[in-house]
Amino acid sequence: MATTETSSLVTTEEFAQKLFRELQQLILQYEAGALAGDVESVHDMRVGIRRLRVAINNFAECLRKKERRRWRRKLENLADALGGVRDLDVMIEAMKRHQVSGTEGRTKEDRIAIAAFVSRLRSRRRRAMQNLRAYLGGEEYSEFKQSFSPEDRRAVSHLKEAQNEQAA
Amino acid sequence: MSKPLKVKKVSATDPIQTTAVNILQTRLEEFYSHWPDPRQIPGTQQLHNLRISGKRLRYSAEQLRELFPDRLALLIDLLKRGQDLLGEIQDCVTQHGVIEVELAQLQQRKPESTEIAALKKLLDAYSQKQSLIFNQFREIWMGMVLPEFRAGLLAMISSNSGECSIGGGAQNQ
Repeated sequence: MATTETSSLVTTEEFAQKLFRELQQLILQYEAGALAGDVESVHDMRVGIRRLRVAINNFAECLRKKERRRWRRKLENLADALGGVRDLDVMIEAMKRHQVSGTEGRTKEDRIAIAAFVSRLRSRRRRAMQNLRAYLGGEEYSEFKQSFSPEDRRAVSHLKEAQNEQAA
Repeated sequence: MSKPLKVKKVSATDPIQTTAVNILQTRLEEFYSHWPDPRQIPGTQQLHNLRISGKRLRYSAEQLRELFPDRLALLIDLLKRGQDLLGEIQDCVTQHGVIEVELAQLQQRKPESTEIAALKKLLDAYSQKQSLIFNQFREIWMGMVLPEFRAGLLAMISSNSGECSIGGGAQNQ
């Protein structure tokens, strides 16, 4: 990942905000692939979400409580929508391997049975993809795409400064 | 899912170097909390929690690795290897569960279906595979819980270079 500034005096907040933005961009770069139903894009987008959730937990102090809760909820919903597809992709892949491996005394009937199961799994995946597309086309995801922008961060920083001044 | 341990005593204005050590120590403590005695057989949930905490530790190490030049590669590699096995165990558990549900539905709907026998064979194959992979992971885990090994990991993450580039190591794997 490219770095933009070097300093031995970087604060936790500066580091965290940059990391949040980078991870958000990482997630967004897989959006088109996920919408197209690409298996790897769905997987990579989900991994990106996990990474961002870890960063939010590690740098919780750099976000207001309300804001933290909001991101966690959005990320959880996005992860659920992606997970619905991903779990089926993993299952379909595993069943296809069982179908062709033939190392465990698998009969022709077994292979036909597994093929029928795979067909039902594919039908479930199509439904899960509909849910995912609906989520990615929805308001919550649109808000997520706007988050962590420099403008957004500046607004939060000003708000925090104002709150600190009030508390002092 | 296991909740992440809270990283305590962190302030947004602290230098990132101090916070980074604090984060990794917390994630390491969390990672080791799930299966402290490898002589005990862990439950499925325990192994799942260990896998999730391992991911949190690895992702944290990857995001902070530039602050620990040349020091975290071994930890990250080790966690990846362990996670591959834990991931395979989790896949066995999940897929076994899906097939069980499918089997129960088939037995109700079409008790004469030839699919039933095939799915039962798959369940047996998953149980065997899970047991085999678990034993492989247990061997690794027995080494990882040795006090000398843990002390080595702790030493690795307990100090850093003092230099920092703004930005994380946002990788995707």
